[in-house]
Amino acid sequence: MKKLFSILIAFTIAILLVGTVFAQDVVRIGCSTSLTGKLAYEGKASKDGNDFYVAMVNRKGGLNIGGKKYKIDVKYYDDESDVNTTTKLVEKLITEDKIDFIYGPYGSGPGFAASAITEKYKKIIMAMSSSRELYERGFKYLFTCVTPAELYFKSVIYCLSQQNPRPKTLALLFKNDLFNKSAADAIPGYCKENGIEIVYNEKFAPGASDFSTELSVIKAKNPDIIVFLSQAEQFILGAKQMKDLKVNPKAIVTGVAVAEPHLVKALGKDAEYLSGPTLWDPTMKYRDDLFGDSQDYSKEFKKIFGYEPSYHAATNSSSCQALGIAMEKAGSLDVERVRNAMVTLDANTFYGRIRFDEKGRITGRTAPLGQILNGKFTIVYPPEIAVAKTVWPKPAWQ
Amino acid sequence: MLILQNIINGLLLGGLYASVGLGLCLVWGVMNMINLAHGAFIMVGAYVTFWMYHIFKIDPLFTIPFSMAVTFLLGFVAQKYIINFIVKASIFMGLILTFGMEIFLMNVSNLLFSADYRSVTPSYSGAGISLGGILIPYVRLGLCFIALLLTYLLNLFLNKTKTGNAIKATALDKEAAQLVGIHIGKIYTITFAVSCALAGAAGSLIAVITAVSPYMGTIYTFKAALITCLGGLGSIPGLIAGGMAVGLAETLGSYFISPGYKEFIGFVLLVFILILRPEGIMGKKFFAILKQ
Repeated sequence: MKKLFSILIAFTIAILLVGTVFAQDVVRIGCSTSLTGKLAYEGKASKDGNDFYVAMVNRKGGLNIGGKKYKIDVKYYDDESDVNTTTKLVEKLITEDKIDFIYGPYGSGPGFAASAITEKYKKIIMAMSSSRELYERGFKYLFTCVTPAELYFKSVIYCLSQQNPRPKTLALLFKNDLFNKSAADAIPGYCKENGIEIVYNEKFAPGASDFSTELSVIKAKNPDIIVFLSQAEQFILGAKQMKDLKVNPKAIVTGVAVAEPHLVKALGKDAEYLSGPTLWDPTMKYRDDLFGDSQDYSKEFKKIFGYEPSYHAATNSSSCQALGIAMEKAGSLDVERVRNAMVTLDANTFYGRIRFDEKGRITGRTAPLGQILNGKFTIVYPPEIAVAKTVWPKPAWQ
Repeated sequence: MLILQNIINGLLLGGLYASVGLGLCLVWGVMNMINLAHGAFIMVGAYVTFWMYHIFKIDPLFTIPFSMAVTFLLGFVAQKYIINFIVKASIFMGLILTFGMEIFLMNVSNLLFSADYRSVTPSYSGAGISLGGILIPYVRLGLCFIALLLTYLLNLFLNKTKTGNAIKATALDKEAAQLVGIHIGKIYTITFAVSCALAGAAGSLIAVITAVSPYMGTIYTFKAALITCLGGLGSIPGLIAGGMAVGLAETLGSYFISPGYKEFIGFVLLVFILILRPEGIMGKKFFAILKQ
């Protein structure tokens, strides 16, 4: 009996030793995002972007950190689109699951909360949030590849202001949440720069289910441009009501929802000529060694996930990629070394040039203007990457 | 002119709210249970219409009987085999159970259909009547008409059919109804199923107006509860009044005060009315008393 016991102990030790010898070095990453709830569509698109990057890197054997190959392993939790749940889950990822880095939740609200937790524990978070408020807190471990919200409409307003006949007035109606407010607050400034007068500037509550009054009032003011800023859900209702009430400005502009494929499917022919900014488009020509160019990215993504990626996925992949490059540059998983690598990063990827400013936000990026033409979102400005000409004025609703 | 357009907007919105509140009012008044899954059944009806339009190109109007049938069946099964067990328990159990049902339905929809936003955009969407500059979209007008039709049919069902009368009797006094031979279990099942069918019809109409997604229903449950309280439990015509009141309050509130305070104004109106008349605008006293 004693002999059997000793053999068993020896066997167990041997297995464990063998295990450690062949154990794969792994970078443990955590992500709490909205897989269900109000932001489920955006959350899933983000997750697919993360997973795509991880799959491509692991396919090549993993990241090369300090001479060793590390595979990436991501642990996901569903925060059900609830910010309170986000904070609890991020804390759990850090304290219980002992992850090395965090991929941020989708959205500015959840990101604001999650980054407060990661800063407390000194863990680097790649935020998927564009609102300025997140980055005004002097956090050191917060980085993002998402274009700042206040820059979303810079190119849009400029491009439309140059059209013929020149627009003179603009009406702004936006959803009162962190991201949409951040983007909307910058619009009066851009209008002033370009000689456009704002004739209407109101916000609506996130739960709004009707815009008939607001749109009737806007119609009476007859603006040249209408900016209706919200996520896709409210914009679909808004666009339908604009058609119902025969609101026909020279341009209808919304946020990045315009670049999402499901908008065209939901509105059909009514989606034609809607304008808005995007953060990424498959027609862009930047390249890198992991994904190729944006066309390659799009094709390979479709092969794995079965649908064309929107800018959500690409922005997420790019964020994960930036962190991966920083880890390789630092040659270690130590948070301070990786942080220094992030601060001094200057990488060229399929998404473009990645550099961060002193607040952790990506610099040098603009948001190109696109319009839905022939059922497809097409970039019309700036000229270097435009694929079609801006349609102005927007033809009346059919 | 603008005021007139906004009044019309408010009335049309009221029609939408009335159609949403119809089913909840019925269940609440009869079974003394607030169905928190009401919005989820609206969502199911919306998806039925979307898929029938998308795959078979059937006009949304003609999909209403199908969405009503699907939600009727779902409601029937849910009540008979799940809710029935807690009907005798406190009102709190009903809230918990229907909340759980809502979560279940929403997440199953997310798994089956994904959270992509969809909508039904038939060829006549956006068209409407123009009366001296006031625009009335056909879709919204149709929705009001169907809401009124459903209300009329429900009223007819409750007052002129044996089952309807049995439902009213059960709502008035459960014990007395049993004494005259009414099978309460069957009545509850029919009531809940009819309520879900009405939610399904509302969902079909909503699919044409706005975006369809697995999580679209929650806001409509709240609106339905608001209107039911306002219009008065036990009164179907009161529901129309409640719907119109909230619709007008929201549109005119947005016009005179600010768009940001729209929902707030609806709830302020509710508090105000309930202080003045606790049973709602047209509610009857005995329906509003909670049974032990």
